[in-house]
Amino acid sequence: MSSPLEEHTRLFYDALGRYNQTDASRHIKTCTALVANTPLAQGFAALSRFSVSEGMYASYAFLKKNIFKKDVWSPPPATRLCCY
Amino acid sequence: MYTIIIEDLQKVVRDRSIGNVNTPLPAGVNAEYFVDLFQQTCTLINVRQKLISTYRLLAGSPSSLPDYRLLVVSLEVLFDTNRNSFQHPCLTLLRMGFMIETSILICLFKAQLAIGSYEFKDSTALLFKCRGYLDNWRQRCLPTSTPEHAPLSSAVSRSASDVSVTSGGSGGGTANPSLSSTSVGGGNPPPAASSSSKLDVDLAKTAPKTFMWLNELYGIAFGVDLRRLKFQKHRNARRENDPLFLQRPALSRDRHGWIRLGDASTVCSNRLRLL
Repeated sequence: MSSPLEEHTRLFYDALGRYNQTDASRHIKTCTALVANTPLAQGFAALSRFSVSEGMYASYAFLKKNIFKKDVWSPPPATRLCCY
Repeated sequence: MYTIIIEDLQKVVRDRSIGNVNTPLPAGVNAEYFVDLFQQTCTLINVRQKLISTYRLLAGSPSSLPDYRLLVVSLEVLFDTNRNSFQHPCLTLLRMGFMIETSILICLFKAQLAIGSYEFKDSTALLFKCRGYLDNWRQRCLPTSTPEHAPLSSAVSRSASDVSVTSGGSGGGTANPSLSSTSVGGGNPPPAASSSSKLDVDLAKTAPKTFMWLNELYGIAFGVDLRRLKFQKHRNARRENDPLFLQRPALSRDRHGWIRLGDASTVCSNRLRLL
């Protein structure tokens, strides 16, 4: 049986992996409250900054928007130029 | 920002006072669990920084194209080195995202190199594989409720969006469709395009616009109409048992002007070779 801290930590990373900033922020706030005044507080404070960085989502958004146009796969512009 | 986060996490990891009597942890908390987590999070962030530097390299060289071979090698090294670096249960999803993203980039760079070498089949197979990886990424890592085009305000997002100017699809790489080293662990690999006929059928069904683009490409490059070819293939398959058809001369022209060579089962492949 995992502790509430471990459970919220797992949910935080899960939300981060799913690029869900809202859930990630919510769970990291709970974790920060649970570890207040303990040695882990600094680590979770660092993770709370990590959660709002949005950097994790950027790559997917870039690939989706610029290389794979919308829902239809099309060759990227440079590829088209090279082909023709 | 990433650097500061790593420094803070490493301070916590180095702090031997975790779990001491003077600084107790909450009840039921295992200190080692979080020390491992923070250590592996540092590794994950380091890996992400390297990926971001790759995006910045693509965005920062508008005049001179980057060396895609070097990028492929560096990404493959990054993938092989770190695929097992963060095995903490909390990091499973992030690890999967890293592996899929790296695989996509490797495939794209290889496709770019293949196109530069006029190896269109290999490049097409690689791009098709990329699409499979992206679908896998979306299926496994993105919730349906998450807006896919959320505003991106971080510096990372800006640098990534800038990449479109230059990389635009910087796919590339050697024309080696076997990407065993890039298979995503735990995930269903995208459909392997080992057979061109299977690829044609899959593309026609799943990505009609891609099929149209391919058709146009092959039309320009080789003068082949894939739709006509598929029709001919089906018609020839029906005639396989027709003795009159099989008794025709080995080389002839049909009413459409196509050159026929050999029996019905080999017409399509021989026609391609002739063209």
